[in-house]
Amino acid sequence: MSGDSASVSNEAWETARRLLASALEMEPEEIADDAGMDQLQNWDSLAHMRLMMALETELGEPLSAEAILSIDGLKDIAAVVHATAAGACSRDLTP
Amino acid sequence: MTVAWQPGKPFETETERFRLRSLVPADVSETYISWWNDPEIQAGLNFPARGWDRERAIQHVIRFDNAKSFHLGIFCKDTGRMIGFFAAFPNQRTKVAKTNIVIGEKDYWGKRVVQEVRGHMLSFLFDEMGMEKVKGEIHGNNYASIFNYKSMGFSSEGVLRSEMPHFGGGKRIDLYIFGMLREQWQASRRRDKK
Repeated sequence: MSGDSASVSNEAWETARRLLASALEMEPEEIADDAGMDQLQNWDSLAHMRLMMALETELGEPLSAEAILSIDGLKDIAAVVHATAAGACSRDLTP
Repeated sequence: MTVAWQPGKPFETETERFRLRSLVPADVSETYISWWNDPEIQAGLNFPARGWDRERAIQHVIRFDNAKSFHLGIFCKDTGRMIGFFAAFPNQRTKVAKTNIVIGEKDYWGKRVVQEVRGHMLSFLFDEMGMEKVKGEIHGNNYASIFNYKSMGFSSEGVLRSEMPHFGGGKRIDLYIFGMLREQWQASRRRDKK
């Protein structure tokens, strides 16, 4: 699910950064692109729970097991957001 | 203080912040019972509130033999307050231990108690009991538990899809399996020492 971060849209990065910052009670500007759960002191079990629930709310659907297990850092959240949005777009285009 | 483990005898050890020791019937306080009857805590284990009374809780405590099964209270060293428990089921034939942990006192959630206690007990299980693998199972999307395993370097070994019914009758839930091998643990300890 991590995928190629270069192919993730700016919107997905922004959404991911906003969700992570909110869950960690930080400012979005404080979170670097390569931020991970092992680097951010605020990223504890409660923050992780807040993040995952906020992500489900944002995406409007439950996370898959693959997505749940993939999230170790900001780039993984962005990849999940991007993949879900891409999936929604392709569904919209289905006749 | 750490009491050397002797099979079948009460066990005691300590981490930086906590004392861990085998629970006995005298430890079955109203607080301990309340954890079994708390819907939020039990939901993380995919159970409803159990409705246990003191007698039922004592029955639970005494079934652990300190040889094939451990039920250790987690006590704050500074106050003596019990905040949760750690359970382990080491199998001497397969050399695989299954563990679980409950932090019952919610003001200790998000305080990295799990990492400190489980990390210490991994040393015990690998070094003292000769286990080759320690594993844990997570029922459903228990995001806090998933974080704890991932943050400690456990490997995700698979997801058993729709493995069990949801306790509340909702959609069936997945079972996540995490494992740590002895060599993984040794490598992480070498990294920590650097």
